[in-house]
Order: sequence, then structure tokens, then C-alpha cells
Amino acid sequence: MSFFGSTPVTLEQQEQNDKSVKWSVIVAVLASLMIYAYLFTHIASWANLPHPQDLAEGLGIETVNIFDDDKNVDSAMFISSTNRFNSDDERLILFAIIAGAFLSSYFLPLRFKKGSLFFWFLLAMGILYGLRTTTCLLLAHWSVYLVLHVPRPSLKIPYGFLAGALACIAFAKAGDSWLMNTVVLTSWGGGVCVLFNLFIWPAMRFEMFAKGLQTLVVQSALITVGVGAIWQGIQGEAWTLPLGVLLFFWHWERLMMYHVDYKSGRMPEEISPIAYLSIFLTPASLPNWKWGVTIGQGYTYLENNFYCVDKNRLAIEGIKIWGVALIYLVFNDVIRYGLISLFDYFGIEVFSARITRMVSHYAQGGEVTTSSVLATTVLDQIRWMMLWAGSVHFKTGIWRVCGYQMDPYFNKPWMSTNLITFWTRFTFHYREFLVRCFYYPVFFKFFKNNFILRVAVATFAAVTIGNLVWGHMTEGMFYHGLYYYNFAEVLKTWPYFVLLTLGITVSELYLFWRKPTRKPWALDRYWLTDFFAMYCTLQFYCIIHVFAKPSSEATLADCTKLFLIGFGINVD
Amino acid sequence: MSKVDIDKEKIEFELKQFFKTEFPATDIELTNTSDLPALFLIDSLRVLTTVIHLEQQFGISLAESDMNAEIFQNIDSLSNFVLAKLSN
Repeated sequence: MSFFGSTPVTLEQQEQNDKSVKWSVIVAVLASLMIYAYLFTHIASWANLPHPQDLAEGLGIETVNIFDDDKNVDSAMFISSTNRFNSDDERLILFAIIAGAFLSSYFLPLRFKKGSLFFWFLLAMGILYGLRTTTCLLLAHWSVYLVLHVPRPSLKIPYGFLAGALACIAFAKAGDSWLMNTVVLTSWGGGVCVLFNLFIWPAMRFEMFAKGLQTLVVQSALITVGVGAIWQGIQGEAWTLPLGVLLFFWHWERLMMYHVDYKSGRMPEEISPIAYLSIFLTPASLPNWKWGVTIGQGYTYLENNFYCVDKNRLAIEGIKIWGVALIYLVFNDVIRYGLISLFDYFGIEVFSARITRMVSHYAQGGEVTTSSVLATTVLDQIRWMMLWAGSVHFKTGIWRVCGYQMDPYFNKPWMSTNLITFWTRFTFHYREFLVRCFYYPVFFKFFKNNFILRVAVATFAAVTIGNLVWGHMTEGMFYHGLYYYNFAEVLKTWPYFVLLTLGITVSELYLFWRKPTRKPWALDRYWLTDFFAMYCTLQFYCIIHVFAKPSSEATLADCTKLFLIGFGINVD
Repeated sequence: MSKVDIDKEKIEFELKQFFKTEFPATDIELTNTSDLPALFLIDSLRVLTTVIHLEQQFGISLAESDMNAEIFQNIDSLSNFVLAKLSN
């Protein structure tokens, strides 16, 4: 993993990396998916195989906290925001789609590979979410495409018409007569075609208008949640977004990175619709849609990582990552409850590894000790990290088997000996988003003659402003609805962001002036120092979460007191 | 270092010295084509340290658009970049 990602790969290299077909690799990928299907779906019942729980018990494996009522693994991997099928069936569809996507991207000629990923995604979306949601999502991305990449004259009419047709399928009510439906579809298509051809594209010849409109579509998620929250605060009624739009909005961070590539001139001005759509809409988006949404980043990162090494090597790496994901997905509850029991045994209250419960207990007048604060904050993060890791590793694995050398989102964060490394290891693609969209623009523009201010302000822009407003606030509204209350609740967590900014800034300055002379974890006589640095890094990151996960009855003063108790300071 | 009388060889030498002393790694032999992002520039702090060094040592100013793998790929590409900035 490097900070810059990979260097551009040539077409010749890609073709070379696509040459060799290894049947053992193909069997291994399909077998891995079969294992997933066996553990997480009903396939054992259908195939008259022993259920995973029965098999585990037969092998003498302790099964508490692993299996659910239907005797397969109780998985944190799911398909978000749809109930057309039950979770097991949704996962089975997902695994089948991934198998199809892998086979087609493995065997098809290079120029069809990306398109095939988009095709399999569309098929899965249609089955899992239905026609309207799929069309609505497509319409949103299509609109972005038409605004960022104005088509050549010969394509303007069909592309404009397609936008209208998609809008019609997504939003218009279908009638009983096919003739009437065709007329309505044609009217929508024609209307939107006229809108684009007579107004929007001609106006985009004016640079200011073009830039404004492009920013508007790229920032549409943030604008919508901001206006929606204020509207609800004034009018009392909250907007309900169509599911397709909401799913599109979850791509807002990647869209911003795409826009950064677009503005920097690091991508061609004209790219095909499939090339654009296959950046965002691949089977890797499907599992846990709302988690690890920055995986894949923008245009340049994906281009540089596509078939940049041999496809068999990528597929094997993908299988390995799926193996790690499997451990997290199967054993996260076992580890979590095991740790809770361990701390209970030593008489340390850890509030079921949930910071919110601890904060609530304290706000209601309960006593909390220093060891409790330290242990609860760490266990809560471990709980969350394990859930998170299983899902994001699985997503990364999908990208890899489909030909992208995707960096892991989550890379042993417990090995970090400072906060900077921690962020890289904990949320690699999200860190990239913050650095590219917020840190760099400030760092290269302001306070060029004052190093401390330059670093501090750029870090503040990324870790406080970008992370709070574009990261957590937008996400909070997507999860909980466009209510002013949700907006205010996220804003209340500001001390978490400020403390994180302070921690990272101090680390940056310290490491800049006091150059490290050795690699961490070299197993020399300083390993104890590494261990201590690792604990301090993790504990700091965990303890500031008392401000990020407050309960509704807790005040800022309560959270501050609890934070101080973590350092052994009791101000009551 | 003055902007005049500087050639590519000097820049390469200076850059090598910088990487060797700033990010010591005993098992790596640094050549003009060594992969800098993979070997040295593995995190944001190291990149920024390098940026600040380039700005202070050569008196050049880097922009956001200069942050890409093609420029920082190796000593050769980085010295070409510095030379181009100096000649501008």
C-alpha cells in the first residue's frame, strides 16, 4: 500500500496480465463463494447437506454466539434497505452475482470486462431492489454523467432522451394501456431531451455556469441533507427520499473524488457511459451498501489498479481477503462476548461494550471508574471494528477477484504506533477522501511560510470540517432521516473531531521534527516502546468516542467529566 | 541551493541524500528508478515532509495537482519535475 496508489498501467501491461487462464484459480474462487453460501444461506437445506451448526457441533466446535435460529451463521453481511427477499436469499443472490461477475471479468476480452461488472450489478439491483429503484439510481448517475461529460453532438438527442425515459420509469405511474405508457415515456424522454439540448448544454458553454452546475450535482447529497434538515426544522415535515436517490447519495464521497480527478485533468474529458457507470456500479457496492462507501475512490485510482498485475494473482489475493473476512464475520460475536466475560471476571463493568450505555449510566447519576471508561471505550471499538472489518474485507475481495488491485480498507490498525498510521490502517480509502478533498486544497493554498499553521489548518480542514460535515453529518442524516434533530445531534459531537484533529496535528508535528530512526515492530530492544505507543494510540482514539457516541440525556459536561475520568481525573 | 548552476545530477544526488537520511532503511539500495511510493512515501506525513523539503531546498512551490504518482514515482521523475519547475 502506498500513499499515491499505483502508477498508471499501460494497455499492453493489462493485456499481458489478462493472458493466462488457470483453472485452479477459477475453482478456488467459486469454492470460496460456495463456502460463503453454505455458511450464510439456506443452501444446506436445499442440497440436503448437514447445517453449518450441526457440522460444527459434530466437529466438537463451541457454537454459542455464532449461529442463528436456522442453524447457519448469524452474519453481519446483508443487503441494505430492501425486503423483497429474506436475508439468506439476498445473500445467495449476491454470491451468485459475484460468481457471474468474476467469470465474465476473467474470461471476457479486456474492453468488455468493466461493462460486464456493470451488467451483473444491474441484474442484481433489478432482482434485489426492483425496477424503479434501479432506474432511479441509474437516472441519478446518468444526470451526473451528462453534466460532467457533455456528449458529442451526434449523441446529445439519444442521451437526453434516455435521461427522460429513466425519469419516467423511476417516477411516473404506469397505466394499463401499453400505448398510453409509450406516449408518456416518449413525452418524458422528449421533454428532458429538450431541457438538456436547448437549455442545460448550451448554457454550459459559460464556464461559470458549467462549474456551478457540476459542483451542484456532485454536492447534491450535502445540499439535500442541509436544506432538508432546515426545511424540517421550519415546516415540521421531513422529506422522504426515493430509495434510488438515497443509494446514489451514498456514493457522494466517491463522486467527490471523481470530481477531484476530473478537475485536475487527470482523466480524459470524454469517457463512455459504461466507463463512468462501472466506476460506481459494480457488484462490490452491493453487500452492506452503506459501509466502506469510499472503497474504489475516484477515476484515477481505479484506472491505475485495473489489471495492473496478473489476474490470477489478484484472484488469489481476493480469496485470501475473503478468508480474513470470514473469520471476522463468523467469530466477531464470540470474541466480543468473550472479552466482555473476561472483563466481568476481573470485576470491570464494560456496559456490553457500548459507550452509549456507559454515557447514559453516568448521565443518570451512576458511578463509572477509570478502568471502566478505558475498557468500555476500547471494547466498543473492537466490537465495531470486527463488524466493519468483515464487511469491508469482503468488498475488497470482490474488487480483487474482478481484476482490481484494491488496497484493503482495513489493515491491522492495532499495529499502529501513531495516529497518522492508525488512520491509514483503519480507514484507508476514507482517509484518502479526506486528504484529497480537504487536506491538499488547504495545505497547498494557505500559510505556505508557516509550517505549524500550514499543517494544523490543513488537518483541521480534513479531520474536523471534512470528517464532520461531509462524513458524519451527511451519513447520520441518510441513516436516521432528514430531521433537524439528527443534524443537531451530529453537530453536538464536535469535541470528538476537535480532539482527533489535535491528536493528529501533534503527531504530525512530533514526527516531523523528531524523525523516526527505526521501523516499528522490528522486534529489537524497543518493542516495549512500540507496544506502549500502540496502546496509547488506540486508547486515545477509543476514549474520544465518549463525545462521538453520547446518549441523548448526556450533556457536554457529562461527556467531558467521563473523558477526564478515563485519565484518572474525577471532577465531581 | 541556488536556482542557477543546478543540473539534473545535482538534484538527483540531493534527493537521494534526502531520502536516505530522512527515511533510513538499511535493506534498500536507492537508485534512480527505485519505486519511491512503495519504498518511502507510504503515508501522508512522509509525502508532506518531502513536499516541504522540495519547497525549502529548491525554492520551488508545489501545487495540489503535483501530488501524483507519475511525479513522485522515482528519483528520475522527481528530479525532472524539480528541474522543470526551476527552469520555469
